[in-house]
Amino acid sequence: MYGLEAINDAHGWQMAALGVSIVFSSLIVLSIVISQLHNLLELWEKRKTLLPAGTAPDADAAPPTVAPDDDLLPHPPVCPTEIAAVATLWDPLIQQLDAPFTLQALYKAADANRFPHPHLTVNRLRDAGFLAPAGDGRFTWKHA
Amino acid sequence: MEKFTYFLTATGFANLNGPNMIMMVIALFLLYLGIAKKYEPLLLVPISFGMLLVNFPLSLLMAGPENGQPGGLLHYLYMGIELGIYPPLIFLGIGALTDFSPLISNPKTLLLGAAAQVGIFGTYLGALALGFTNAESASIGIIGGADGPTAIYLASQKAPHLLGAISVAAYSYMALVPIIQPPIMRLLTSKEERAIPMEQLRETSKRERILFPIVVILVTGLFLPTALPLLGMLMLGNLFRECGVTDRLSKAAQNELNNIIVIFLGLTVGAKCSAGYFLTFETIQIIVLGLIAFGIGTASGVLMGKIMNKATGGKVNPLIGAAGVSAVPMSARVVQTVGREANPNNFLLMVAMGPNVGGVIGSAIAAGIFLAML
Repeated sequence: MYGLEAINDAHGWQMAALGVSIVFSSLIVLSIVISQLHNLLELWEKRKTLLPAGTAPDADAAPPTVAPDDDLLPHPPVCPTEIAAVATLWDPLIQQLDAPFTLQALYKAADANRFPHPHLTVNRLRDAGFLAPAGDGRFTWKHA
Repeated sequence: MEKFTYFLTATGFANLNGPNMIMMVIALFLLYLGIAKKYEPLLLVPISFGMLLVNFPLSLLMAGPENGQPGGLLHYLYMGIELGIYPPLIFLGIGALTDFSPLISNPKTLLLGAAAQVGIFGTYLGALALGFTNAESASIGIIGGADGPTAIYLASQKAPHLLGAISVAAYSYMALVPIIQPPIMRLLTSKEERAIPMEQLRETSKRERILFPIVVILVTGLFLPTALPLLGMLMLGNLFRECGVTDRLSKAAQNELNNIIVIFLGLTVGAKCSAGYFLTFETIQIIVLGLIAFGIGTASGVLMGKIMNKATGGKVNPLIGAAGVSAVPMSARVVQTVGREANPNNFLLMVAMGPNVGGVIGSAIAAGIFLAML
């Protein structure tokens, strides 16, 4: 059996419509939940001020310890902690430059593209060996 | 003399036939593409070598146990595909390697990942029309997700006899993303649309990144338990990465485990491509349908990008929709390249990573739907 007859026989139209609907609805729900995640976390942080008087945690209780929370530190999405991951993000940018290039040219390109912390990142890439000296103050990109 | 004649008849030369030779040439060509052209070498090299090994005349690598003798090495390694073990383990590695921050900071891009899955269902209909069964059509359609492990997982569960053709098609198109996608992207967008700059993404906190895999698995696991083997492993890998207390596990998932599974998966997928099995009209149909699926996926992602562009008053560059197919990070890189052609100061890579990782989730959900309904 071929053609529309085969599709009808296998209930193809219904399956495809249902499939697309489920993919969309589950990802829409997911997107709504994720979009509210940071609001919920903010609410959680402010819970003491939001709770009515009397229901707040006991003042005599042990003082809250300041857990090492890296929320205090900037965590830009384009700035992962691992230098190899940073190098992957910088790869397309550096591919645009004519090799060998100066660090100044790289810094300018990064700054123009609003890469966060370009100066620090260029230094880290250099320390990690992704930027290899090619003489005359120029560098080449060593990223697989 | 008799022994010498027997020896000659037992060599590969005496048993070489046309189809075997064709497959060996294809394997060598794929090997060339992987090594010389660097088209997905980590996958293409083991796949093509497996293909080469299994097409030698009298090769016993894929032979099952017989007459009390053990089977070939690849026969046992293939169990990992047949039992659906390798693809979820690959997803564990992908989860540990992937930074979901672009998606967390801009969750709307999940819709682009969803739109790109339309190609899967469109091709499913096309395959049905060509006379494939329901399960075969679903396994062929999933190629449109441009997600090799998902395609292999679904095919191994629903149409194991098509596994070789489907996996070769899926991985070939993943490797050919930079060639297939740009013409479709240019065709569907104007230069002005391609030049639209996008806002820098907001920063995400560590807590958000830790909660993300847990929330995703709670939502999708309740929606579609059949998607749990893939999504569960993806999110577990990501939790290893983000929680900050399992660095060793995260590194093992990213490196050793991932690399070992890629070798096993690649070799055994290639080994499934023996001449008698691969050189058929059915395989050609699958490869053509896979290309159509991939094209529709890219086009529907871009069209959804255009809709979002209109809805936001021109703030969304429609190109990022093309990254909704889950070839991570190749399609995001393609978006960056095509965007730069129109506007050299544009930097879309990080924004495109949102729909790109959304596409991974979307294609795993689509696979879960087929597993649940067929």
